[in-house]
Amino acid sequence: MIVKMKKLSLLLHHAEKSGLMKKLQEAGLLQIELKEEGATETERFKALYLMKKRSAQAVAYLEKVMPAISANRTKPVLPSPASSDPLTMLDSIESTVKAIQENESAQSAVLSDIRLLTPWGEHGPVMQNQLAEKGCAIRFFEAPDKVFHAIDLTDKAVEVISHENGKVLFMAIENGAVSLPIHANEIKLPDSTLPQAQERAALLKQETESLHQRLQEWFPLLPTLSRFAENQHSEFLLEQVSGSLQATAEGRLYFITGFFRADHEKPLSELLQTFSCYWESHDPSPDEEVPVLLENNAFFRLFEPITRLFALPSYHEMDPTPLFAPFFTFFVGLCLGDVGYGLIISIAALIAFKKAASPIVRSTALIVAILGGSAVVAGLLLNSCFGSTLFAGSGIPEGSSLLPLAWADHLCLLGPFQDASGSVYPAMAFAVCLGFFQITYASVIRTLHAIRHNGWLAGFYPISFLLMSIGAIGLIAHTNFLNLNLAELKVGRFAVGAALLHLSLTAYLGMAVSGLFFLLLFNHPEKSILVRPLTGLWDLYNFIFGYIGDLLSYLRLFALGLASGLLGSAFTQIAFGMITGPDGIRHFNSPLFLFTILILLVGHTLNVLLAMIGSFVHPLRLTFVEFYKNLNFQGGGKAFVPFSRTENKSSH
Amino acid sequence: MGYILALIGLGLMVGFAGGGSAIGTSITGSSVLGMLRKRPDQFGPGMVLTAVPGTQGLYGFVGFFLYKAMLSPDLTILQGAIFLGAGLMMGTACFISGIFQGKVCANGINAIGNGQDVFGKTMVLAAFPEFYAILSLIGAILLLSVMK
Repeated sequence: MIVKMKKLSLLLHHAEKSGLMKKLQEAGLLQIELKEEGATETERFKALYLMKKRSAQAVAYLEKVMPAISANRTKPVLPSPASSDPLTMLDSIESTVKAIQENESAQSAVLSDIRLLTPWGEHGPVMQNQLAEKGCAIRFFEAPDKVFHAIDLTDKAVEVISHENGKVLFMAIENGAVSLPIHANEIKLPDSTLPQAQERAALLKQETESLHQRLQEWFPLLPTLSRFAENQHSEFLLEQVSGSLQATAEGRLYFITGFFRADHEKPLSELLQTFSCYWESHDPSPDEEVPVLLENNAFFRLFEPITRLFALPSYHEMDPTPLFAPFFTFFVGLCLGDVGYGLIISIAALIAFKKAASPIVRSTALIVAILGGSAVVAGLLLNSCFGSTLFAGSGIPEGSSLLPLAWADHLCLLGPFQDASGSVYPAMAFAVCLGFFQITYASVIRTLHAIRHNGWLAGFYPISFLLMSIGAIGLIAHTNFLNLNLAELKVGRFAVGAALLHLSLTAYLGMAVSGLFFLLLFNHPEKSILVRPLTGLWDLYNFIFGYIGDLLSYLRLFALGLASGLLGSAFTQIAFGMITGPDGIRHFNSPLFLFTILILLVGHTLNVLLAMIGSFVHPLRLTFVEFYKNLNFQGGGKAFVPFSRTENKSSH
Repeated sequence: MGYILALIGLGLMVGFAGGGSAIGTSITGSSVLGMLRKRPDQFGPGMVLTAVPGTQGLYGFVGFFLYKAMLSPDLTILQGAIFLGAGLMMGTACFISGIFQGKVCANGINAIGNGQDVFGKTMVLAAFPEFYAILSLIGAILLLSVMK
């Protein structure tokens, strides 16, 4: 549900500006509309911005390094400096951090030198200098085996230093000005020797430790610095918003507009009454860009991140969260469609929910547990557990089920079975029927929303699609259009297609024709009635092909469930194949049973991970494309972020 | 002969449809890896867009499933040709659609990496190349009715 908002217009005397802004910030009720960006950049604004940034960076750095430094502590922590002045702290921390970063950079360069020098030993650069004094030059090379052997070494003084991992390190001594053409990668060694580089690295490490110790002195004062950073942030926001207000009457009055939750009108009025300002509030007009705040119950709130993943609804739309959440849950279940996988996912998610402290992790774990539960339900319907048949029943080969209970006929309504025509997969037809149901549901909601917000006339256009789709399906069933045999459509043992024949051909024809009539005459009410039939024809074309495409797209629910089931079944067969003798009897006392367990564990873990990704992504796609399209959901709303000590919202 | 044609048709149907999806998802997956350097927080939308070109492979699989029920060594040449035609139709459409849908999604992913909020728009635009894969599935289903 989208929380109802109201717009506030407020006229304020400049003397009260500072006091009122502080009160509004503390209350955190109002999202203030700001002037365009850049208008607020005064000197004070820039100084506050800099200080906010510096303090936040210092806090973030300390929080990042504190666990590692504290864990590696070898020396006692020095007492905290007497001064807890935030500015002094900030300067000291910044200079220490800068020194640490410079040190780390130097350390990295020295370690790189050591890596280069190590293969050549201690003599490399020393010998180079000695030879240089006598007019000789020494060069160092690196080449792959094949390249080295291809080099013509005649008349060349070459010494192989090492020969490892297909690489040859060698040096060549040259006399004076004669430069040997050697086609290999020449290495330029650093000026220092290996012991010198090692000594420098040890020194730098020591210095870094000493700097870390200096940084440790500030750890106990981190809460003070954090509070300072928060205050700076709050001051910055106050300055940003205060500086962006629209001044009138030569700067003596300020005009503020903003949005607030309609149910917060009372506390906001009480706050404003303490100032001698003039204000009025009203409902936002339909053409206004109103910030959006979603408010759903605990179950639907879990699905709000999915709504945000696509886009927040605009204020004048519906919140799609409660509309898609039940479908999404069931779709994920169908795609996974396995009792065993569902149970594992649910149990793992519930353990994570119990152990996690972070609210985000907990809510994610909870939604995963719910989706796992849905997979258990769908797995029962599909008669599948770890890719194998769970219950026995008619049409299920004897001995193929994990449990001998013959419950499949009553419980597993979508489970595959054999009949005279071969294997029957009720889930396939069910997926399309489910798609038809969701699309019809979306069309009904769209129609009701249009009527509620724009009156009865606005409802004719969306209802036209509903009438045409139902009418067309009924007509196809009655006339056996293109030999599709829709009237004979069955979901398992249920004759769904036959149910379509309960309404007469005339009724379906009436629906289709009236739908077409509404579409041609009531589309795009803002256009002339003479133009509407033409735009309606275009809509009709899009509807015909779009609708069929949408319906078929739901087949993915069946395909994904089947694919993961077949893969799981294959792993099970391979695993038990290891211990099955030529007589078909499984020998559980065989030493190969260990491999059976290993294949089962690895195979099913891999399958469940793969299935989880597909089972999450494809229902998302059905929601964002097929469902949203038929709901006419556009999205694009901006989140409601009231002006407070921690948040601010810029809008134009 | 009819049986051989049918088997070739099914091979084309599943192989090319799956191949198109494999290439498409590789293109999008590579783009996500590039995007993560700039915006690691956008892995969720990136993952969803990566999976979008995977649909064509599923359509190929569904088509295979529908036709598998009709598969028999007693198929006539005409019936085998229907299998082959359906396989060619679905294989080609799904292969091309999968690759180019991958490119549409990859561009969307790059745009998200550059800070543009185009996830929803990419999902909608990516549905256009997929439409032709769906049409090929419809064509294959209609061909089935000819065979019956």
